Amino acid sequence: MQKAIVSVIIPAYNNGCYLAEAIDSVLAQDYQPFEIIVVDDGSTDQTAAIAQRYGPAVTYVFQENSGTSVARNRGVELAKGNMLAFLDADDYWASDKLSQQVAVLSSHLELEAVFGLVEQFRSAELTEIEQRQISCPPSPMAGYLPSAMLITKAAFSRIGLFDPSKRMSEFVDWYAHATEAKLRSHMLPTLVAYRRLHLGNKGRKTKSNTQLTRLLKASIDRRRAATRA
Amino acid sequence: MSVTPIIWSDDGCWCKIGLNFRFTTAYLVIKHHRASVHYRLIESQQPMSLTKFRINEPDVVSETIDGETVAVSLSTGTYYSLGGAAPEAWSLIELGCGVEQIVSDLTRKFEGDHDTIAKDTDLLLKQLLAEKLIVAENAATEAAASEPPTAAEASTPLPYEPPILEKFNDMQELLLLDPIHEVDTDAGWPAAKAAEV
Repeated sequence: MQKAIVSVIIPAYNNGCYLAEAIDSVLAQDYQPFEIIVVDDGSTDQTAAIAQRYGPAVTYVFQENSGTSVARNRGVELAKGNMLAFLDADDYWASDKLSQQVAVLSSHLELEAVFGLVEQFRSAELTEIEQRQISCPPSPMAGYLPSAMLITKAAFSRIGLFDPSKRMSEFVDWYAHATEAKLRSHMLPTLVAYRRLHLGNKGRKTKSNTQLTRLLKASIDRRRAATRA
Repeated sequence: MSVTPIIWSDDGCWCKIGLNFRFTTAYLVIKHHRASVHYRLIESQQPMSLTKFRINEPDVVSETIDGETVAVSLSTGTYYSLGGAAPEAWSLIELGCGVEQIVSDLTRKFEGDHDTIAKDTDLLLKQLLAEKLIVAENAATEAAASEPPTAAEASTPLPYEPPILEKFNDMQELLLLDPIHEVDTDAGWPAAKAAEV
């Protein structure tokens, strides 16, 4: 069987200070071939310069600020690979992330997606007070996050794109759809990604979680409708 | 305040203390582990009628959409659907009402008989407390208890549907990751935490 080509989609919005670490962690993978697509979601910082520094190793596209969903969808549109991986610009991967996950998807053809554990860490530039304000789980957690997922392009097409109207909790929404569509996935018991906790993480404040309650309500409604049908 | 101790120690005795705060009784077990003492609330027998409630914020986020309340516990990743008369009760809890106020409002709003509504409300509140979606507070400690939120409403009562609480665990691991559950800087928690260090 031909080796899978992985398209790595990195949505980036004003995370220029972290982007190089993310890209470097892809370039350091012990698996090839892959392509890197950085979708700049209207950044006003050094994101463009950093992405373009990598030359042809990174496909760089710019869009007006439209949110992570739209940026990831744009990356999917451009992807030439038959497997899709996502990496948030402020996270980075373990060096064997792709090799572990490609091995699983290549040997278990019934599977459509594979996840892995994520270790969270407080970003080094935070002051001591800021560090205290961010709760950081001490041990790796099941990484139901874009940065920890590898999915076949066919499965992604089956589930559908990220909802462009969701600026927050867009992955919870996508995963709810994936669960309802019975996505066949596996969670590796090994570490695949590191998630940076910093002041710019989306959805940190609990007060701004109305999107979360709404998308859960929508998911409950869809499942009720499916049961009735 | 009266205290009724039953002792528990390493040789197997129990120490049970009933604390009477005015009309409210809470039972505590005190466990002796060498020098340290652990307090654990094992049973709350306070009369519900003298308790008021609040939503367990900021851990719990909730919203009522199309007559159904969805509440998410960010610390457990569990989410809940409240249906029937429960969303109405939830909105009264949000206003800081006690059980009597909740029951009387529901009785006014719905056609059901008072006893049924009182029994259902009592059960709902116990479930919400058990799931840590709401927190009980001693009404007596809140001298400036808010006024009853709704005076008698003239509107026609609606058909009564018993409260329903549905619990969902299917997104648990994902919700524990996203959104990041952290300190609400507006709530003063970081200051308290910083002071401990």
